[in-house]
Amino acid sequence: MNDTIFISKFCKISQNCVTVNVVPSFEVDKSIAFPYFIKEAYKYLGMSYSKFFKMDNLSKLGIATVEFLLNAENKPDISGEKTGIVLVNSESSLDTDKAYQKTISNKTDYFPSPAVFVYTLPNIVIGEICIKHKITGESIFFVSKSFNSTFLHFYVTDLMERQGLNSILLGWVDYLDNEFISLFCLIKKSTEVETDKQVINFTVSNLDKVFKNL
Amino acid sequence: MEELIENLKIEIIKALNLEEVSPSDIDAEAPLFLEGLGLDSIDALELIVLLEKKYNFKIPTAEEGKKVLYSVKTMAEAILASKKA
Repeated sequence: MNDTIFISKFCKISQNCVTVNVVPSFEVDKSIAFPYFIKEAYKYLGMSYSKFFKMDNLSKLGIATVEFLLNAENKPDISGEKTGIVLVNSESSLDTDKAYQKTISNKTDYFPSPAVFVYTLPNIVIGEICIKHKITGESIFFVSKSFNSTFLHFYVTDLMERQGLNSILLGWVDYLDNEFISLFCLIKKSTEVETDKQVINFTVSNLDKVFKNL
Repeated sequence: MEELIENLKIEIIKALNLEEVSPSDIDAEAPLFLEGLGLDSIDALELIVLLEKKYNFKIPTAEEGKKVLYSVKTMAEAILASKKA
């Protein structure tokens, strides 16, 4: 029997609001700045992960989005080499790059921060997700002006069909100057899809629909 | 010495973004790495920069670094020893 590839659930975080499959899950006042929003989200999720507060804003956003997504899926075990991660954004790690630049721009107050420097690459978000969830499958971070459903559909399908991955976290995660948006979906492969479960077939058209509001 | 230790705890919390930790949570004699606060290698680099910038103390060798960064108390002792020298 051919495997079915489908989008199990998707989670979006934008303007201090978290939705899962477009249903509001968590929200705080829009006037609250990101650091306070993400701290409230951390508490709401009941997380106990001290490393979270050492991360840069992009990684915090990515980690929180994955937590909301997995909670909605009843916390499946996604550890191991059969899970992959494919992320995209348009601003790379520019927000953190600028923060690091500040620490070295003043010759009289030269204070390079190693803890900031380690986040001056966008794929560190993937590293943080992998560490937390013990994921060892294929991963990649694309920097692109927009979400290209056609290409990403091809890439994810290839990972699942030719490289044998069973699930993939596919997402857009962007942060710059207190503006942020993330949208992750959990893509799964199964020979059996429970008929009473709402799933979205993994097609270019459906990816367009899910990611249309970026 | 006690004042320096308290000050160090505050600076460490700030430098390492230890959001859920308060100064009273930190045992000055407990190991900073592996046990205690469970800091990692990046945190070690931040502590080295902190000592240089805030306390004008430069760790001379890697071997010395392991001794200095063992606990908050050993950091305080190293700072005080350098001021007397």
